[in-house]
Amino acid sequence: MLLLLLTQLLNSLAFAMLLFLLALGLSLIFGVARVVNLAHGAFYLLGAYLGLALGASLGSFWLALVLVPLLVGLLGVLVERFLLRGLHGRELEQVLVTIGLGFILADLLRAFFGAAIRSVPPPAELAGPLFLGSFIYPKYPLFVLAMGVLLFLLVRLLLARTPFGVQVRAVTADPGMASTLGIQPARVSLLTFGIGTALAGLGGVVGAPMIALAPGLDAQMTLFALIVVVIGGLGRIEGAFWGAILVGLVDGFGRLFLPQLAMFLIFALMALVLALKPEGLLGRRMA
Amino acid sequence: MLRVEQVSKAFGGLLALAGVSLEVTPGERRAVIGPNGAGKSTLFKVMAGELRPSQGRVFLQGREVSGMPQERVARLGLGRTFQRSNAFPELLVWENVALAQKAAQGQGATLGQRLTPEPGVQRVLEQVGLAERAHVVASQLSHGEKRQLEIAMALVQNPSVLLLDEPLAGLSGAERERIGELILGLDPQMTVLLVEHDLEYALRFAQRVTVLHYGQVIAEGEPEAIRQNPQVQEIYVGAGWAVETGAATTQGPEVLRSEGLCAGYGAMQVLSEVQLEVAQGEVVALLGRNGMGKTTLLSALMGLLPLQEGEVFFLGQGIGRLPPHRRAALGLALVPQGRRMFDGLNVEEELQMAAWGQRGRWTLERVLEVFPRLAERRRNPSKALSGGEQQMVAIARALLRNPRLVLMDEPTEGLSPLMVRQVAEIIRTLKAEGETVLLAEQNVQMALSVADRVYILEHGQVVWEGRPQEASQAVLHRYLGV
Amino acid sequence: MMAELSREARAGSNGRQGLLRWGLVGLLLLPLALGGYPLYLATEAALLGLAAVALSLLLGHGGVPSLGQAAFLGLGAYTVGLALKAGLPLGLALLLAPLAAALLALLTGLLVFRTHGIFILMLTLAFGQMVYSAAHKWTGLTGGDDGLSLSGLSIHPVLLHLVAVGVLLAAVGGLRALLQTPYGKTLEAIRQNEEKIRSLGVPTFYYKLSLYLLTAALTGLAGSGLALHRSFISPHDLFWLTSATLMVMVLLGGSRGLWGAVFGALLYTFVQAWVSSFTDLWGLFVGSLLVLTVLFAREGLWPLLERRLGGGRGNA
Repeated sequence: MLLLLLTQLLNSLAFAMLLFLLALGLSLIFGVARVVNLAHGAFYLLGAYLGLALGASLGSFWLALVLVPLLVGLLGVLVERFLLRGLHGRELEQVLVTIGLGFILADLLRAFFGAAIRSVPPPAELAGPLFLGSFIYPKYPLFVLAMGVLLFLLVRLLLARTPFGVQVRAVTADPGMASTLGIQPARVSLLTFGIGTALAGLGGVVGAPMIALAPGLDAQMTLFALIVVVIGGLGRIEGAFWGAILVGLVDGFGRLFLPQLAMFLIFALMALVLALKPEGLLGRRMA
Repeated sequence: MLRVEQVSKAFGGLLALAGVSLEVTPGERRAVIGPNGAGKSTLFKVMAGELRPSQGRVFLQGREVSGMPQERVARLGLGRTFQRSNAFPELLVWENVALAQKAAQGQGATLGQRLTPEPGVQRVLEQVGLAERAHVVASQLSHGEKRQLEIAMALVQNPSVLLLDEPLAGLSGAERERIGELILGLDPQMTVLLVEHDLEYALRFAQRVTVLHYGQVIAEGEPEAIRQNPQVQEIYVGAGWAVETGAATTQGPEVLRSEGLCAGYGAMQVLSEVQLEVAQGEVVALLGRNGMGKTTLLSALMGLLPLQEGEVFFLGQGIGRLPPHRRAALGLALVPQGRRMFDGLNVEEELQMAAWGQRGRWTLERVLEVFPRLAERRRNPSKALSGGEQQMVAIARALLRNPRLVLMDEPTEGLSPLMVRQVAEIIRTLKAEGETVLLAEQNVQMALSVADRVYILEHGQVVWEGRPQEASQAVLHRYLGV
Repeated sequence: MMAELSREARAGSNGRQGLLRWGLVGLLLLPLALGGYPLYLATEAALLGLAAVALSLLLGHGGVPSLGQAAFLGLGAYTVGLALKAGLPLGLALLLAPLAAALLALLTGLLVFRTHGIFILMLTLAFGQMVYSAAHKWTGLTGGDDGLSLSGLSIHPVLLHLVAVGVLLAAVGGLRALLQTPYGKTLEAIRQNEEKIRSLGVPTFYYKLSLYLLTAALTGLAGSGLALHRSFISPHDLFWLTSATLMVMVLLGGSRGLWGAVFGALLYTFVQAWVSSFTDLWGLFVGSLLVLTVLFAREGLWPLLERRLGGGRGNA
């Protein structure tokens, strides 16, 4: 029993780290560009399929892990520049464009890769289980878990210490004032959008061996990311991190104990947070 | 009628109200005056239930209303007008007023019949002089007419207490006259509180005057007594500042020039045809009552607000269409109104961000020498600093850009007299260092004591320019109301 | 004098706008003469039109950007389907559908309207997807992926069409009248300046919530009609693609004045039928329409038509 719980705990946390990658990108983009990117799940799915294709053709998961986020991020940059920037300040219209874009991307992926469910094997180095005495656990989720935590620390450090990080925080707080200090909010916004979508793409590559690819996964991932940021609070990476862990745990243990109601538990969690703290657990009051 | 007991309100580290108490009797005319940032608007918002006081209580007709949502407070008889409101821009004028009436009657949710202009609505529209404009869409009203509409919407609710928030701000001659008279002619039974920067008008209107400064009531009494009160004189006009009468500094080369500059918000024009010049090494003061366009002008010069017409030349180059960051790169820096600290950044980050990529006379070390207080506060979140400290950060931030011209927007706003002196000292230091400063200021005497030249703005136009020692009492009285 | 002139001009343009509206009604009724597939599509358009009108009221007049309307549509459909399966009479089933949708709106609205702006959109989307996943997973009740078949019930297509168009026109007429009442004008005021109307003493929360309930009920009714019309309910109709489709209809038509939504629904339904003859990439189709409408036809097509023909601004 204890081992089962431990297994499920690790599973949940690994899934949580995947959600964190998504929510982090969503949150960063919202903070800087003020856009709720509802194509986020589609960017995840794009990353996953690209990872699959590149991984197969290059023969290296690791190369795909590096290349795919770059490609997806580049697409994000193009989207920001050519579709969203012209609608600057018109929140609803921007969101609608991202929704439309999400549908387009998801459908193109379906047309290209087919509607069949594709499960992706983990890279050889991470395949197979780890033996810790009587406890046996696959390596791959541990890798995802470690990567999520590392990324959280890394992004935190970047935001706290680097010039670009401080600029991102300044533009999030007050773009007008930031521009009088020589910062170009449009450029920061463009880069952030690229980074945010690249994170979604990275999530796709990393997540594919854990969650089988299928049409509709994009909407599911967008939804999860939205719930995480609603619970954790938009615009703060700590909110994305702890929100993701909470959602991951509720999802994982919900599936274990109340498999019929797992999804409802998550919504109930969200409703509870909203009722008590509409701005999210770690959020600042917005709008 | 309305009683405020020991109300305090804190925003982050800023204490906007620090234990304010006042009591207004039925039918009283009360003016609340004080310099910008004294806490007047915050006080109104707390009274109206828009903000919850951090401490203290508010009573309306003997009933505690603090902590209630603002719609409840309104239903209990508290009416208010906003300084900048365009009501419901897509509805007709009479519909705006009729909705206010329905809301007061608690019949906003009526489904049975169409919304119609009832006699009460007509009467109020006539009273405020908008009867002719009843069938116009509200967004098409002039600036002054919008104010009249605000007042009509408040009056039709027949409130027991009416709060008027700067009803004359930004209005020009005839409109000012008209709305001023309208307010003076309100039903004497009604209890009216007024926040207004036009001192002359406020003193004419009021039976009693409350003077707020730095979030505290520093004087209360009848208008004449307030007029004579030396403490009020000091904070309002600034006293004990010597205007330097020394030899004029020789004019350096031109740094900034605006020509025929027009700017405003949306369709509303605030500035018209502003001509202005600043030369190397000068401190130029920009004076004017509140709402006359000082902040708008500095925002337009910095590029935060697009020009409607005209051009701005900076170091000989036309910059009127450049975005703010390009102007910043050319050497313009802004110390903004309200200081605008970045939420989530600490003092060091604020300063480092300004200093990145900069090389010049102002370095981080140098700035911390001039502002030793900031060195102690390096790790503190800038939003949690006191007003004076935040002002130092804002000035330091601008200096670290090593600018050719610093635009300072009301740097003494909301500061204690001691801090005001420090800011003046800083400006003198900058001047001695050869910096060029364009200073928008409400503390007239302070500004005159540091400035080489002065512009006075009224209703978005330059109405006077000259040297500080040429600014006679008559000029100051006429344009600045002191 | 000037006022009179402009009133006359307005009356004139109203006349021509009226003509345009009659033309729209004509388009809805014309397929009665054709029967078959065109009639099927026209009924579909009238029912989706009802849902689009509800969204148009919610978004264009109430300022509430909801992306969860598919849940109300689906709940209405399942309620009718399950009620009929349980042996309830059709009339009662049709009454229960809007009630169920309104109940869901009440439960979620209490939470949704604690937030503002873009958060409302995110939350309506999330709750909408919650209902979708419930429909998908609760196979015992809904049949899951296999859907719920309503065979055995046959309503004559002409009758169904007449009822659908009748309900649609009654809804548009009734809601347009509602917009002229103090309640309706207060809703418009909330959209334009919520702070101001609150300072006048209006508890805006309840207004927004009540509007949400009303539009949910209408959408639920539309969903029940769709269930009868298609004789089949699929959980996929609850997916947010459907919510976005309704949004496309509203935007295509122009988000104010309600007639635009009817036009948008009609246009969309027939264009979709045409497109479906050579591709099954719905998402690509709806998504492209959404992006193109937002980028290039911000006001929608209906106001454009009204101005061409009516000379005046198409106002409510």
